[in-house]
Amino acid sequence: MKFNSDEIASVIQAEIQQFGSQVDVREVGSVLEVGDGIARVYGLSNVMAGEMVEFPSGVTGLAFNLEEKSVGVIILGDYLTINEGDEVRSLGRLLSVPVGNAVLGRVLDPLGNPLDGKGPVSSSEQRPVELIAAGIAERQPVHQPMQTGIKAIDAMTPIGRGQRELIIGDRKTGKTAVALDAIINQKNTGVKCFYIAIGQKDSSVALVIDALEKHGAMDYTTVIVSGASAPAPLQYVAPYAGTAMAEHFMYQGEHCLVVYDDLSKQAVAYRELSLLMRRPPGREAFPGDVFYCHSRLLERSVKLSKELGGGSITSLPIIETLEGEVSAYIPTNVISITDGQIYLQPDLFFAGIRPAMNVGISVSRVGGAAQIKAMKKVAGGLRLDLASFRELEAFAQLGTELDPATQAKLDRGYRMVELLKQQQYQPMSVSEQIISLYAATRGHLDDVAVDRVRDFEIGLLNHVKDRAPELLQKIVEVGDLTSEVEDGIKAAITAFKAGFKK
Amino acid sequence: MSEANSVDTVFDDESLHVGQVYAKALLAASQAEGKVDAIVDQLESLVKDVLAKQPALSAAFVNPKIPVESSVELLDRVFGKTMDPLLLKALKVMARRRRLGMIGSIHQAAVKMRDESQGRLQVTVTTAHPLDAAALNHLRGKLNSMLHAEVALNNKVDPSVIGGLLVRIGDTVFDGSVDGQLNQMKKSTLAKAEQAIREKLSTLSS
Repeated sequence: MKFNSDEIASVIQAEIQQFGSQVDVREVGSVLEVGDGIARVYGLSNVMAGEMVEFPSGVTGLAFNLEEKSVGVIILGDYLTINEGDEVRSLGRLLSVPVGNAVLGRVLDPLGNPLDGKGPVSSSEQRPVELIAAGIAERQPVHQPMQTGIKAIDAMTPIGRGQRELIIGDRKTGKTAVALDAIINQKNTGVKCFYIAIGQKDSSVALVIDALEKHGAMDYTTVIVSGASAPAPLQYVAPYAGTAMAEHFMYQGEHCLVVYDDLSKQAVAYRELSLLMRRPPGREAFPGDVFYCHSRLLERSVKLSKELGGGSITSLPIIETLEGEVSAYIPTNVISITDGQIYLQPDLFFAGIRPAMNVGISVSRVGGAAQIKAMKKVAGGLRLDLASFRELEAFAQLGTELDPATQAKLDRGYRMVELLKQQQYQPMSVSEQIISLYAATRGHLDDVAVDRVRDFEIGLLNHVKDRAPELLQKIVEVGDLTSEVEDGIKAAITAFKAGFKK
Repeated sequence: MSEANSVDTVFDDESLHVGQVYAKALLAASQAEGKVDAIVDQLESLVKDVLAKQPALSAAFVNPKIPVESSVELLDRVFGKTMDPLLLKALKVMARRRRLGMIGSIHQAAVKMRDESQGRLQVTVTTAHPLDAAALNHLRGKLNSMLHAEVALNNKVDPSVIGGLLVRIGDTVFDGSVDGQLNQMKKSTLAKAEQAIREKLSTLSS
């Protein structure tokens, strides 16, 4: 591709000819000190909190602290290009990011600048990064399911559109994997996905992007990256920027899924800024308003009312715990903000139960409202059954002799646990989930050996796909476990079982 | 601390605050005697003409080894005949409280407070060449009528503005300089050119 330099020259010429000399009025201050991603500025007497300022090198900042004699500015960019004594000008507007279809399929930094080398984001629309969440009158209760494609989650801790479901667990327990599967499962559903990586290794973000591309999920996904090497201010604003991009779609009546990976790193970045700004430290040295930092972010995940188009933002914030310590400051904060949590445990993970979800303490406060009726019927008592199975299992390890009823319960439990294991990047549709859960909860697996349960499931689903694809269709259409649907599932199971080598 | 505010960008919260407190007291006292301007002008000349040129004296002001009595005597010997007794008394109070080192910030605060109370505005005009008296008068007249206030003009010379005027009132800058306009032109031209290229790109690819 070649450009005609004459053409460009003529554009420039026209622009120069049309240039009217205007007096440029600006509010200024001067940099007193700069470092660690923040600057202290003298002057700027009329600047407002959260207003954008510009340094001579073109780097922008945010007025963060308004003090009696100076203004604390967080620098969104390279602070090494700023010198003491530089003139700072206020821009009179709030931090905004580009929004719209142009951001889909892109990898961006928190300011909306491209990081993927695919050229500029050509979007005419901008949206302020910090906005107050929709009020009560603008909302409606969460009632549509947001399928993650993971059996264990969709059956026991269902997530609804507009819900905030926390994914919490130690390092290396598969937190990101759960979120990624949820994104991949949104293919062909029209849900726009946003993956916001905060304070992570760039190598792991590259892996995530690669996985998304491989599974064709990048077409409807935006990845917002502020890696471990990004300055703290960028890590701090990243989740708000991503949410702003999602809100644009939500107000057009579309559905979004936002993954914040992870909010503990954002809290750490915010702590860094606050301490540098000399805000008083509180528990674990976090500032007093770290709760507000997360609550105002997650409050923007909304199910909008019908009048406003019924769009939604579902968010999956991720929190990393240390040694399973859920009662640390940030985890308790975010647990109390969200509508439920999926707790992933390392011992389960290493025992081969993946996703390593601890059923006992994982909950979804929206619950059944976010499930279709058929799923509700199939998975109804599953969570409690599994929790009581865990108790029994511990008891059985003592070597006591068990009565047949208890033994049967145990056997059912072992098969259930086996069935709920699921490979990564293999999300399942609702109807598939219903068929395999039906088989297990209604006792059709009781005569299958535990180590053959997964083969049975795979075989059964393939059988249904090949022989009775209309059944899958029907379950989705009817949405309920009518006797007709039930008979269909039973028939499929019996037919498959006849040819299955136990 | 003696260096406080001697450089624009050195910022000392404490000395700013102390300066305001002392300046307020000094102005109130001189108000009572009806000679605000005289006192502030003397203070200004003390800071600009004496202390700036006599580093030894300003060093003596902040030296903690010099006993209070000696510095009070020193003030009497040096300024006793020429200085307004009120200002001298104020300086002695400062010496007793070991605040002489903050005289720079006291002076700045005093000038600011006087200007505020008298509706006077400090305006800095930056030009490429020094303005002559006629031009300054003309500009002052214009600004007086525009701002409805008495304007005190400071003329700063900075060749990098190339031409035109850069007027600064408080924290607001009115940039009518050639340099500023060139920058504006550069920005808007670049933006237009970028947009033009992007439009051409889309027609090429479609």
